[in-house]
Amino acid sequence: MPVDFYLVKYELDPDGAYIDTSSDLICSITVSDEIYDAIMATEHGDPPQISSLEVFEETDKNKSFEVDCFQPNDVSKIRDRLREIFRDKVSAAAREFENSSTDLPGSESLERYFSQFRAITGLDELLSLKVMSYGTDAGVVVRVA
Amino acid sequence: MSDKRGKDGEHRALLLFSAAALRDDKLEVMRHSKTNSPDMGEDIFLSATNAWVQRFGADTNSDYKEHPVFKDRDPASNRNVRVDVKNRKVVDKPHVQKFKADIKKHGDCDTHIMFGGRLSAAAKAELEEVKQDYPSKEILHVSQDQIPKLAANWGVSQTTLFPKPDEDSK
Repeated sequence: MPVDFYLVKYELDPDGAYIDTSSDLICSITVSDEIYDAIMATEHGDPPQISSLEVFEETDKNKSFEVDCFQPNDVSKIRDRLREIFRDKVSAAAREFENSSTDLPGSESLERYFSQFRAITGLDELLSLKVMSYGTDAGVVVRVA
Repeated sequence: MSDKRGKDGEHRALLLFSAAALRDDKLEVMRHSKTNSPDMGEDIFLSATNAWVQRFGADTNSDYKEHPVFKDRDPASNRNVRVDVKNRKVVDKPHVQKFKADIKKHGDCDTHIMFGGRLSAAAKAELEEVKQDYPSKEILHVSQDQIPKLAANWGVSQTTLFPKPDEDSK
């Protein structure tokens, strides 16, 4: 099942609370469960941690709900893992195409790799935005759904 | 249930729309593959009649008004419907913003349904803006509390659809 990543900006209120009315989606990307599972795999050490973030519906803070977010410190780790996954996929694609003399544009394997690379590069862009443009901004979070 | 909430929700919705398709000769349920769609096959697509969509709208929204673009069209004419299943208790503003972005990616669909959850106040306002931004598309939200009614209409048992409702949190 695909997994959605959202980069969301909240204008924090004076108490540092996250308010839905002030939220704005910067970008989002959908990745396959295969890529998500590879990011969350434990074989290369501790996986990135997901925590619940309380978001208030309105500024009166009467109602709230929770969303799943990656810990800010883990965003670089996710990007590093993603780049390893990308490198492995590029190598696998290169091997597959080298060994195939019949692969034509539009073939199933080409479509599959395009789809995977679109998702990986899209997620890399989302994570890079957080790391490079909003690194110290606590109001900008990487959500997963 | 599997250990993946998203997967369960999508399949429950598929089960529900498939049950509807069993009762309507003109309704077809489709799922795109991972590679040939911008959402990696996440959404559900329906080929439905204009009459079916209008009945669906009336059944799921008490204040439903027929969309001006489709109101006078032949009831048997075809509608291409995208269903975006929301496996969440609360659908918030960023969810609606993503739903809006996905409308652009599915230019062949004239109807977009956000299925499930309860809209937060900001999400409700955002959805109204989306409707104004896309006047040629019919855009609907089906809240979670309307789903049991649909299930009853289409002959799907509540226990099949919601074996453990309390586990569907957030």
